[in-house]
Amino acid sequence: MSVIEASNLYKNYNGINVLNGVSLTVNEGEVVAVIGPSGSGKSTLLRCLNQLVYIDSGSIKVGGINMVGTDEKGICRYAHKSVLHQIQLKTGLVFQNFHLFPHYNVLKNITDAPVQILKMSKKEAEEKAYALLERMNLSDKAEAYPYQLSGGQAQRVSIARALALSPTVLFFDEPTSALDPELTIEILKVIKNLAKEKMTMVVVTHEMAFARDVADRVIFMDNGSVIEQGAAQELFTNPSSERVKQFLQHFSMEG
Amino acid sequence: MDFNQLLGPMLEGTFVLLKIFFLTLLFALPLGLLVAFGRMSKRKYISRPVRAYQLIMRGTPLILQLMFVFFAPYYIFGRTYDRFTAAIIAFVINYAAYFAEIYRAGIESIPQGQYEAAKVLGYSKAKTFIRIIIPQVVKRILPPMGNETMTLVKDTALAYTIGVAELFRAATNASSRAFSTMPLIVAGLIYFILNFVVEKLFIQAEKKLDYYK
Repeated sequence: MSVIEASNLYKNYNGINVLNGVSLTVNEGEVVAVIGPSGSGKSTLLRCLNQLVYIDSGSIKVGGINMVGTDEKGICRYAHKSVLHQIQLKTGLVFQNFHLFPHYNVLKNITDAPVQILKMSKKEAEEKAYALLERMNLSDKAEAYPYQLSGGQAQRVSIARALALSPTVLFFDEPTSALDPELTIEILKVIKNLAKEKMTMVVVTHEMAFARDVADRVIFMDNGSVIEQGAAQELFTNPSSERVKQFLQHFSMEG
Repeated sequence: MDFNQLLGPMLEGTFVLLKIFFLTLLFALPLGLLVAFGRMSKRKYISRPVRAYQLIMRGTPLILQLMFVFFAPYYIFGRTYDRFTAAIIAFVINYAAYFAEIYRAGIESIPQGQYEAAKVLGYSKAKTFIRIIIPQVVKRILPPMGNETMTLVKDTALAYTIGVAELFRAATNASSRAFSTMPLIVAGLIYFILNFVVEKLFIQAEKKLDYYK
């Protein structure tokens, strides 16, 4: 079953087509890596799927529910607010710069949304948060404030915060781009473990080795369009388009 | 002249000062937030008049605004009203304009990412503002709010110009009756002591919010 069905997404900013007819399907339990040069529209694509950016035209279905559609006349319509809210809760997003809430400690960062938004009991939310922190190897940091965390720890907290809402799909927007190589490995490990648990994920990344080794499918974007997509191994070893070949030249893929 | 005879009116004046001070804060603090929202509105027909109002409040002397608020109804409708009420109105609309700018600076300094993180987690706009944005804004605006609050303590003296019997008026009256500058010095001390307390409170508030960065 497909968790995300996006087709023909268009988004224009000041006369520039940031998304130029992008289509994307993500199946349950699948890990999709989105790669490509900066400014190719990868992040915008994620932000559209997560309602941070509204598309100009196209259609998006999440878990079979219409989020937005476009009729024959080209009029783009979003679903009712309550539907959008339900979809919002089913789609988690992990940011490049974490965006933890600085005035809440780690535990509260994770429990506040479940308690406030899902109306979960505080006790249940905290139990869940502690379990997530243990998975993230951060059990000792529950009481810490975000400014006391390293970048890698902050990013793991933000992953736990997203998971606390039990999303059906988790998006990552360059989750390691603000981290040094050591911390990058730390975060990639976490994502790998989530992949093992069959979490459905879409990861925008510049970590080519990670995309090749962890993703089931890789999508290459350039200038607001999907240039090529396919099984990770296939796309990296035998890309069919010149643009992908040229892009991948810059990465040595040993190891 | 008996010192006690001086002290009575001065204490009454201090009481009026405190009434002006607290009533101004009570109304101007929330009104300022409303003004800040108006100023930040994307709708020009809201933001422009709000900006004009702020420009007038910040661009003309408070002492003139006091007189205007008190005397204008007399010239327009031929009626006078309570001086104290006039003073409160003038202080509230003036301070709201300043508070609004401090709020605006605070609100606009919160990174966009905070709003995005909240939206992705399903927070409504109201919840985002109350739970995520406001607490961070409060921490950031404490120093400039301390400034304004201390200025307000001293500005209450301007109510003297429309005949409100606050501390400064009591002190000048006492001074001329007793042919002494002593009451003025005492008044100065009272203003200082009040602001000493205000400063302490703000420092304490800052310390209380020091647990995060």
